[in-house]
This record gives sequence, C-alpha cells and structure tokens, in this order.
Amino acid sequence: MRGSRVAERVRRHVDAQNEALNCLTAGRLIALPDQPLRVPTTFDVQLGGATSDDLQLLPLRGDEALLLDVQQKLLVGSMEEFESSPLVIAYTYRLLLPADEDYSEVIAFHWTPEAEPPQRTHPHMHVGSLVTAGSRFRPKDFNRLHIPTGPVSL
Amino acid sequence: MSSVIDDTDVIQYMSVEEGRALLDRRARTFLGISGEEFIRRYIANDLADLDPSSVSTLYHSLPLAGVPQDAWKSRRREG
Repeated sequence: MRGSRVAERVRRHVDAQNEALNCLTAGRLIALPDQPLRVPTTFDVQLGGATSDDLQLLPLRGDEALLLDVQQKLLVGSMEEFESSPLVIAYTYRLLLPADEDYSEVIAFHWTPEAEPPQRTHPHMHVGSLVTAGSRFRPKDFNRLHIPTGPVSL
Repeated sequence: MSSVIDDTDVIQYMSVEEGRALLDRRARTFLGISGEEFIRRYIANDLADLDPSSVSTLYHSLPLAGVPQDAWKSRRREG
C-alpha cells in the first residue's frame, strides 16, 4: 500500500478524533514519530498545538484551570482492512490541575498493553489524589489503585 | 516541531530528538527524574516507588523518543 494512502487513513482518524476533542479543547492530535508508512503499522499520536505548553498539555474549554493530556497508539491494518479506520490499541486520557510548578491529577484513563507486569496491561483508571485526599477510605494511596475499565473512547 | 498549527496542518511529525526532549520534560515534571533515568528504570522494571499513573502516561511518550514500549523484553532475553 502506498504510504500516502496509509497517511490518508490516519489523517481521517485524526480528523474525527480532533472533531470530538474540539468540544473539550482547542488542542489537536498532531504529533507522530517519523516512521515508514507500511501496513500493518502503528502510529503514536500526542495531543498538542499552538496553545499547548512545553509538556503538550492543553487547557480545557470553559475551564482553563484544567489541562487535558491525550496520547494514543493507532494500528493501521492490512490491505484487507483497507477501508476500516485505524484502531486505538493503547491510550492515556488525563485531566490535571496545575498548582505552582506542579500538577495534580484529577482523573486518568490508561491502557498500556505492552508494559511489563506488575504494570497493568488492561485498561484501567486512576482517581487522582486531588480528589481522594479527603476520603475516609485509603486517602493516602487510593490514587495508586488501578481500577479496571473497558476500553475508553474519546 | 512547528509551534504554529493551522486547519490544514492535521498531522505533524516529531523527530526522535524532539520526542526525547518531550519525554525528559514530562519525566522531570511528573516523576522528578530525567527522561534517561525513566527509560533505564522502565527497561529494568524498577518503577514500584513511582506514581503509577504518571508511569502509564510516560509509557506513551517512549515511542516518540525512539524507545519501544516492549524494550524491557531485551533485558529478559539477555538475562
């Protein structure tokens, strides 16, 4: 498959994701590693854009105190799957609140299938310490718990 | 990587050098260690004392820095 056609499939997917993201932030999925365009292949994309900071964090629309962090790994399939969209096969979606030079996590959804156990390889979420600090249940380490989820879409 | 994005600039490529610099900034901010140290500890599976959510976040920055997310398998093969 010609590289330009692979790029077009990725572009269509990224366009759709950016349309969804546009409800949340002015940022866009933009960054990909420079790699050969042969299928099957994977692409790693990162939310970014002119309004992002050095960490590629984007302010949430309507509440610029909150920052959004989005990363995805896309799988572009073989010729037989030519018309299908790339699949999201790993991701991070995270909301952060900046505080001085630091960031407090509000909530995060992760899927890291190629990590080495005991890192979790199934989709999961974390409730940030900012939320759990006042809880009567495990206030000091609830944020470290991996809460299983199904795959999460944008 | 260009800092100016317009409506026609949908896909933008990041060099490995830019990816490594981004990984380093994110590792220092979220974990208080350098990007190189994060890569070393990721491959060594020496992550237990680090914030697990930030580790999962930086996992996704590894390929942008030219490091495969299954790079830890090389340690097992060598071991």
